[in-house]
Amino acid sequence: MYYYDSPAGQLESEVPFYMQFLGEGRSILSNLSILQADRYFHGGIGHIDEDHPGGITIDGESQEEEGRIHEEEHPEKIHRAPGRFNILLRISEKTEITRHIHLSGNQVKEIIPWIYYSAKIDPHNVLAYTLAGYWLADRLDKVDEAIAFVKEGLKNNPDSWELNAELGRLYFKHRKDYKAAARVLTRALQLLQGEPHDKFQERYVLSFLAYSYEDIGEKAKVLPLYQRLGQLFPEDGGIKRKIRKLQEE
Amino acid sequence: MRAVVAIVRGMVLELFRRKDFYVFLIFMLVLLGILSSQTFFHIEGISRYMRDFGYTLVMLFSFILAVTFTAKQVPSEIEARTIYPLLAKPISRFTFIFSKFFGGVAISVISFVLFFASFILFCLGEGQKLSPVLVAQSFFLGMLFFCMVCSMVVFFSVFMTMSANIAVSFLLYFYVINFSGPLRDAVISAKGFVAAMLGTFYYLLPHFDFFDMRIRITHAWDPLAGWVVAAITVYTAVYCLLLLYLAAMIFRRKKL
Repeated sequence: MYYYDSPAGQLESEVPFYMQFLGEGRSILSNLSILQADRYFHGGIGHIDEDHPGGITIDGESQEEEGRIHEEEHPEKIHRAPGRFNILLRISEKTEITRHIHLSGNQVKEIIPWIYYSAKIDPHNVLAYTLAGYWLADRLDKVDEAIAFVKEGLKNNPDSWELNAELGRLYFKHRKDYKAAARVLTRALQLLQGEPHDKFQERYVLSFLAYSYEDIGEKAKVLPLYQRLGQLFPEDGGIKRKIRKLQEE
Repeated sequence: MRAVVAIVRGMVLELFRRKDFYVFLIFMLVLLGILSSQTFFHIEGISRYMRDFGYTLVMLFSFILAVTFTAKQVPSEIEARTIYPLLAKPISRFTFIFSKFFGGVAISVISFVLFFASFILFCLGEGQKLSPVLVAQSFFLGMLFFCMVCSMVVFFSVFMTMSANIAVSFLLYFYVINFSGPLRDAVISAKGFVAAMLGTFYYLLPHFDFFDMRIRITHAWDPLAGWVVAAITVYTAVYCLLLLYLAAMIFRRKKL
């Protein structure tokens, strides 16, 4: 049996036969599928970051914007309005959709097929699984499906810290299964330390791991995690207070 | 007039005699069937991706039929020498070109109507809600789109081989659909000589993007304003007439 040449060691035979013809093009197609999900989230229109800095991204980092409809048009389109008698440019402007919307509530389900296909096209696209985990569990209340899908992602990418972290988050937030959360988050932290990362990624894993240990009552393991957080964010007063409190206990 | 009807009828009969049309129709229905049977994590009511695929297939398959059928009309008549009895009937070269255009429009619209009807029935069968105004606008603009396509293909066919015609038509279609927006922005922001050049290029291009209702249909956006539809209709009529006139002029001087 031929093994796919990747760290994940996925069986080539697990990829649908029609996808095997694409070779490495699968990765491109898979990422295009994620982009399509993003377009769907914005009502079929490309997302222009510069137009709304701090706005929502497909991974839901800016959740406060969820559900809002921006009735204003993209600023650049307003500045560059065509002349009144330039009829073709005016038609073009009127046929193009420039309003900015975000799907809200149950409507976010419309992005799911693209995320699903993205993972099916390229089972090594970790982002597809983590996105699915977030949208299914946090937005569509499909926790079991989210966990099953992230686990499928882990089967294909066992050395992904992102997937371990996402599974840990799902166990922590939605299942309240803090032991399971601590187990996979510990693995996520080990994997994270073995590759280049930024302090925000480390904070993400450390925070959930610390909360998990706190909830299962393993206080001794909590302090080193907060101390590490303190090293990463020395100016954070909340972390300092937490460390002092833990030392006093 | 009788000659025009005869040529158009011949082209329509050819559409039904050949297998291409049926293959596309069956392929579209099978694909839609597969898409509608897909379930994603037990979530019900996911419909937009199906409308997206459905509308894209309708337009793509109709476009392929329109281009391939229309592109071969003039070259094949010349190659098979059947053009001589036709022109001897007598039919003027001008009438010949217009007949080929109407024939192309007839087969494109017939295919489009059947594909579009299948797509709409499929959506309704799935319980999807579609705005009747959007559906009507998509249908009307779809027909205008095929008038534009056929006039362009007939124009190219008087001085290009069939394969070159098909290749150029497809390239133009994909270029305009994907890059018309950035080109428009470049025209608006350019100044002086560059603006004039870009503007001329922009006005010469066939604006297939005006007819593209995919995003509106898929994401249930508002329909186009009435004046926009009217302006697109006038634009299509003017563009088609200009192209056909030019095609007839070139064809009149062509040595057969």
